[in-house]
Amino acid sequence: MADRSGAERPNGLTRARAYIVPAIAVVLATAARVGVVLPKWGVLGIFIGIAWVLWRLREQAAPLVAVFLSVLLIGVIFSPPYPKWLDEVIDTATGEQLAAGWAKSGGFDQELPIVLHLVFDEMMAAGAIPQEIPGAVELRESLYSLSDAFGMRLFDSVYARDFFSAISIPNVLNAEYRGRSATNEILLDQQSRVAENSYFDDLARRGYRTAVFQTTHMDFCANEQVALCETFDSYDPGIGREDGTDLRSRVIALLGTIIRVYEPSYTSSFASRVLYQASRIETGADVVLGIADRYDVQRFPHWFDRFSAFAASVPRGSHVFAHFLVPHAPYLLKEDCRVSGLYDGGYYLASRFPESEREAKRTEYYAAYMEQMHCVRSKIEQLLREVLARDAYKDAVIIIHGDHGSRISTGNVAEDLVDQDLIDNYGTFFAVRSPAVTPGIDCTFASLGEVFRRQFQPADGPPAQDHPLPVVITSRSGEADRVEVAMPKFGCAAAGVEPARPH
Amino acid sequence: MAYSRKESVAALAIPVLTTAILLYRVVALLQVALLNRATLWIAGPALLGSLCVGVVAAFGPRLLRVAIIAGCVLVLFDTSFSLVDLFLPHAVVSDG
Repeated sequence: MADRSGAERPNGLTRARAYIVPAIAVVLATAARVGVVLPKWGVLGIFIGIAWVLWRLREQAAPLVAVFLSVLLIGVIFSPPYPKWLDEVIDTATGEQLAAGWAKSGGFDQELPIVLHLVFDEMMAAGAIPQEIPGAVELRESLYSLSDAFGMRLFDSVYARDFFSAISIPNVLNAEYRGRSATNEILLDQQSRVAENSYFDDLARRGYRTAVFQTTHMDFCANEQVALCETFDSYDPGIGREDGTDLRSRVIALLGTIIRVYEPSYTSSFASRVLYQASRIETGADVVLGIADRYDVQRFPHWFDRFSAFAASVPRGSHVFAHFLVPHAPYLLKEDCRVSGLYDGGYYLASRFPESEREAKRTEYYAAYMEQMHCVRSKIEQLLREVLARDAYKDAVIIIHGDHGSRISTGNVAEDLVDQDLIDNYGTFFAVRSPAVTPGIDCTFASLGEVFRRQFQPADGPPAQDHPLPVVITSRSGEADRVEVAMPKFGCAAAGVEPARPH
Repeated sequence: MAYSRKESVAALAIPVLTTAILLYRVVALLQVALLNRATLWIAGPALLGSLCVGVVAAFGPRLLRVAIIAGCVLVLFDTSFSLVDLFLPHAVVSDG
């Protein structure tokens, strides 16, 4: 049937045919959404849908999209944070200058002892280090020696209740600090921005001024009590050539990092596969698993020297809190804190290796992890020597702990784990030096939050727990995503005797 | 096929803009120094490659141009809002 201009008007069938393509797109996307087909078909459906819309606008599609992207790019550029242009060179001496500025920044109560609180991410308890791994006995004894040398009380059998940092640490500093330990009272989802911080608030009430050193992984400076905040850059592979890696490795590592920033996305997943195949990475010696990303292990030695210079020069009445992403994977650092160039992490072995290879891989990863632990231990020793040589630290409270275990285990789901996996995932380092604490080895079997709280005994908190609290872990069965699991005893709490100490 | 200059320039720019947005976002987030060698060895080839794709989009068949533009839009959407969450809402991502 013709219209007034004489052209044939499309009939219903013709009109319907024009919408076959978007209909296919909708069907694919919906089928993928409900699980009838694989997700990749859903992505294809969305792509077809976008292409169909652009085809219909094909005369103006390019200018429209180009204008949109130009505005988007301008918006991205003018949204903080701004990039930096040049590599940063860390000058240790600036730590003392920073401390001098800190001392002049406000009133400090000289009656209050310094509180130095260090959190080393993924630092496992001495009693949790698996003794069958070569080198484990030496590492454990070196931690005992460190504790003895500086008059610390080292807790051999403390455990975290969650193995995600952004759940464990906020709970320790907030709900558990107030004595709230039931599963329905603590965080179960990750919280990177720690604005609510009962521990910081309590120290402020006591008269302390708080300085925080952190990484971009977790923001402790969000709390209003923080008077000084230093955030370490999350990753910069361009620091000099003394790091021991060649340019190709650095480029691959950075590209892997960039790709991983966009997780979770199909783009990231596809680009990762292309990267590993194109760079022909096959062996563990130069594997980039995407672990060399936000966690800047590589710069830790430099940062820590600067931090030590600051910490050693602060006035009394200072509370210095620092969170370092070591000995967290990747296990880049050798025992002497030299960067080895190995970007790798030992998590979730069951999902990565067949059962026949798992034990060997566990040993291999633990060997690398323990080298990194030795580096951390040496840096702690260096710091303690510096600060304890100062008169201002004569009665200081020094707390050093991790936030969970090594996580070199079978996996992260309750149904997949045995007792050893729980110890690997949750056994957490804890040591304290204080005039109120007797030096030695403590075999208390308790959660990190509970042990930490007892050091400060906030006035408004309930009394100490009289039974070990359960850990909280993901489950794939039942209605709840997270379930409670009893933590098995380990270390000297399980042995029933204090460990023998090296002489 | 006859394209207007405006259309060709826009089509050429789209892959380059997409790559620039993706790179800028991550460099600002990671605070990687823009002028260090590793960054340049990634940004340079990436932008050159996107320019080549842009040339194809600018002067190639219209169907290919539409596909390239659709692909850029899809990648930006996927990396901004995560299509993985749309199709796999319980994906486990390891984190520290």
